[in-house]
Amino acid sequence: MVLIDKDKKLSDVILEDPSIVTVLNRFNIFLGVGDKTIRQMCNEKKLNTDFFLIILNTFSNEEYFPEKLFKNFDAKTIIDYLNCTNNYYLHFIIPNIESHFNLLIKRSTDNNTNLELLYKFFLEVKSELINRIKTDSNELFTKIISLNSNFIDTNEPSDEALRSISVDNAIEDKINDLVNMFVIHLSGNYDTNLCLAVLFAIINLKKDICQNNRIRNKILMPIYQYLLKPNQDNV
Amino acid sequence: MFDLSAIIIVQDTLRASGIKQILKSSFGIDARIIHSAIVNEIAECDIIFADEYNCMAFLDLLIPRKNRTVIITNIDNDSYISWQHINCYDNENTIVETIAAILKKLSQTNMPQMELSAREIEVLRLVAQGFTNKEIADNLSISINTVLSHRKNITAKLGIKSVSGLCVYAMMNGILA
Repeated sequence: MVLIDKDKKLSDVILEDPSIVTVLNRFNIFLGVGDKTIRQMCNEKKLNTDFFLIILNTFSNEEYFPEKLFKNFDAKTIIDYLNCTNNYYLHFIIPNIESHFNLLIKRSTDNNTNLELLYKFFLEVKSELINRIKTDSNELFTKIISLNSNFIDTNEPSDEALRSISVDNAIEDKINDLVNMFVIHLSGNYDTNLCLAVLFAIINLKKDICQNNRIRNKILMPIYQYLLKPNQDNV
Repeated sequence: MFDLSAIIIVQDTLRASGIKQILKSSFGIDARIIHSAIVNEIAECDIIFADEYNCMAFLDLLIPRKNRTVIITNIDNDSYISWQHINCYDNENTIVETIAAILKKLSQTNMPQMELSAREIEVLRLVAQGFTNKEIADNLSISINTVLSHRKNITAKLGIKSVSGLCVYAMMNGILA
C-alpha cells in the first residue's frame, strides 16, 4: 500500500484514482488542478494539509485507517468534513441517482415493473439516509460541538442522538441489497447506458458511505463518548 | 446451438409441436413435451416452456424457477410482464429472436446456486409480508432455528439481507403480489 504524500502532484492522484475527485469537491477543489502538489494546493486553499492527506489516503485505500492520527484533529475539523460529505450526498449523489433512475424508467420500452420496484426501494433508502443526515447535523454534531466548547449542557442527549451514533448498518445493508438486485436479479428490457449510470452512482455512494462511516463511527463516536463523561460527572 | 435441456408443458398439441420444432430447427434443442408438471423433471431441466394455464396450475413449482421459465401467451395482457414470455401470434422470426435472447441470458447465468427451495420460498413470502421469525415458525410448524437457517440460506442465495430488499425481490418474482 503506497500512501499519498504531500509532495505528490494532485493531478497524479486523480489520474491514479479518478473517483477521488468526489472527495476533492468537498474541499472546494475542482477539476483543472494544474501541476500543483498537494502541499501547494492546501496552502492556496488554506486547508490543513495533514487532515487533507489522511482523508485522501483513507478514501483511496480501504485497508488504511489511522485512528491515532485522526484523533490528533479536533472534533470540529472532523465534523466540518462529515457535514461537507453529507451535503455532497444530499445535493449531488442522491439527485444524480434519482434523475438517472427516472430517465431509466421513462426509457424502458416495455414498462419494466422491476425497475419501478427498485426505484421505490431506492426512495426508501434515500429517505432513511436523509433522516440520518438530519439527525447527525441537528442533534449529534451540534451536541458534540457544544460539549467540545466546554459548554456545560446539563441536558441529556436525546434518544434520537444516541441512536444516531450507534453503529447501525441498516442503510448500508439496503444499499448493498440494491446493488445486488441490479447485478444479480434485474430482468426485462432497459437502456443499458442509463442502467450502468444508475448502478455506478449507487456503487460510488456505497463506497463513499462505507469510508465515511469509519470516520463517523470509529473517530467521532469515541470523541462523543469521551466528551459526555466529564459532562455527566458535572451533572 | 445451445447445450440445454428443455421441456414443454402446453395444453394443446399444435402449440407444443410448434415450439418443439422451433427449438430443434433454430437452436438444436431436443425438447420434451409433457402433459403435467412433474417435480423431478422440472427440477432437472434447464428451461421450461409453459402456457398460461399450466403456469397458473403449477405456479408453486414455476415461481422458484422463474428465471428459466418462458410463458407462451396468446393474448396481450400484463399478467406475465414480469415473466419471460413469447406471444404465439408473433411471426416466426420474432419468436426465434425472443427465444434466442432468453437462451443466451440463461446460458450466461449460473442459476442453480441461487434457486430457492419451495420451503425457502414460503419463508421468503412470510418475511416479505412482515411476519416475525416466531410467527413464521408457528405458521409453518417449524422451529425458530429452522426459520433462521432458511433466512440465512435465502440471504446467501439471493445476496439480499434487508427485509425491504427481500420484499422487493418477492414482488419482482411474483412471490408476493
